[in-house]
Amino acid sequence: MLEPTQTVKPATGRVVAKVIDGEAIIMDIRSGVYHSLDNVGAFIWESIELGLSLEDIANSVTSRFDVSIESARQDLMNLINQLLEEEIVFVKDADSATPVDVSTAPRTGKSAYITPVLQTYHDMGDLLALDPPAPSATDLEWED
Amino acid sequence: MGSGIETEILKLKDSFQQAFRNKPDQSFVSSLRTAGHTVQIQTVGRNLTECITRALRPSFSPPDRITKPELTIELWSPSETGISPPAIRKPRTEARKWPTGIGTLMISADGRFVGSEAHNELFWLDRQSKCLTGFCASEAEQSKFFKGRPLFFPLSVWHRDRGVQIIHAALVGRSGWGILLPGQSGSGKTTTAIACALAGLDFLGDDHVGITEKEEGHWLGIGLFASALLEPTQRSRFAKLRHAGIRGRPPPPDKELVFVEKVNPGVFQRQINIKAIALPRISNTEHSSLSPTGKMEAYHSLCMGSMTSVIPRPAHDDLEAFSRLVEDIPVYRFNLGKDLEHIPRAMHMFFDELASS
Repeated sequence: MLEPTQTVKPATGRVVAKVIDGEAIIMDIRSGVYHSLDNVGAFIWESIELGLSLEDIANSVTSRFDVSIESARQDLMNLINQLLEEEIVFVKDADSATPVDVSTAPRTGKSAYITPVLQTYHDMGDLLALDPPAPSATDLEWED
Repeated sequence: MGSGIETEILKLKDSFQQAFRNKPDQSFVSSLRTAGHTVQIQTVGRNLTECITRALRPSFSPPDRITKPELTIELWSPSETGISPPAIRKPRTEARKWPTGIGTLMISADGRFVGSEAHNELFWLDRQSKCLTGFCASEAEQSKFFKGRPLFFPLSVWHRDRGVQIIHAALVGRSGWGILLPGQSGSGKTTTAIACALAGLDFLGDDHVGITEKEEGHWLGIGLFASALLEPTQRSRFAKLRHAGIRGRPPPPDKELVFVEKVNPGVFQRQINIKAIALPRISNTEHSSLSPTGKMEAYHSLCMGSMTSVIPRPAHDDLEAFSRLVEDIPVYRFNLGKDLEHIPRAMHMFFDELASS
């Protein structure tokens, strides 16, 4: 059971994530399976990358989007559980958590809220599975 | 004595030296430059030299000054020189191996040695001594892949060691400006690149090209091989290519090899400034057209194409570089119409637009 004070962290050794044009694309570089999050989901992903606690993320969502804190918390927990299940993030050890300034300037208008949905795509993963995966550049690491 | 792989490479070097000494009339040495680095190529065997020169030389410029080579390539042809390959102890238990579709890629446990083995050919790249040594099959036995893209895997690793990533994309250009065309097989990369090359636009590659970030926000595209591999039906659509196919054994089984410099001399370029990314897509319209599209689509296309078609597969840093590339460079969709002659015209209009913007 996740606590609101907890923090999750991207599994950086395993996934590469980028937010481009308001959409987050998160790629598992071993399997080729990739995921996308847009709108509220991309905002949450950026907040995860910033190292915000789950409660701070929910608060940031309510300050940016037109949604109640209860709905924001519930949707956030659902999304985080999905991300954990896909091993895209892991729960950060509480002792190693670093305080993050989450103060945000008051916003005059809030954006429409859309429940964040994690989209998962297997097309690249299927291609990698068909051909035995070629060596990755990490297999070629060599120190001169 | 070092590892089994080092012993194997020493044997290859001995055989190469023997061929080089015994066949001075068939020994050739040239110093060239690629991606800013000097490469010395030593070949023994006339047909082999012709083969290497045809595919590689256009991508290498003469050195502006003599500098210590960043790579020495030593190749000999056993069939032309009579110097047989040395006996190799197998299996090579100390090497990790991957099938590549054209042979086997091998990497020593410490990553120092990268080998490539296929039918009657074997090369080892020693990344420490910066030397690539090996032998090739006779011309009759060479694959189309080798003829068109010789030493592909070791050279990919060598380029990568120098900050040049090999990606799955075509690259065309005009007056020093390049348009990168990433996409999966069947998206229209080769058709676009060939149509443009036949019309006199610059050709840097139809399938695999190098990219490197010269400075922040400034990307260079590197042409690697002056060849294209086309489906037979694709080649038959271009009248100028009807008699341009080069014979060779598979792999690839379903493609034909063409040298662009043979069809339209002077169109191959070694490097170019990437000014736009255009994602090709076959459309049912008569004419080709370009329109702006999302950067995420370009990032996805670069990742998807390179993850499934480039060896070695991109790693974390490469995917980071792809995201920087799409953020730095404007992205368009290129809808390929049925009229092949209109493809270069659409590209010319696009270059005009880029120049005026």
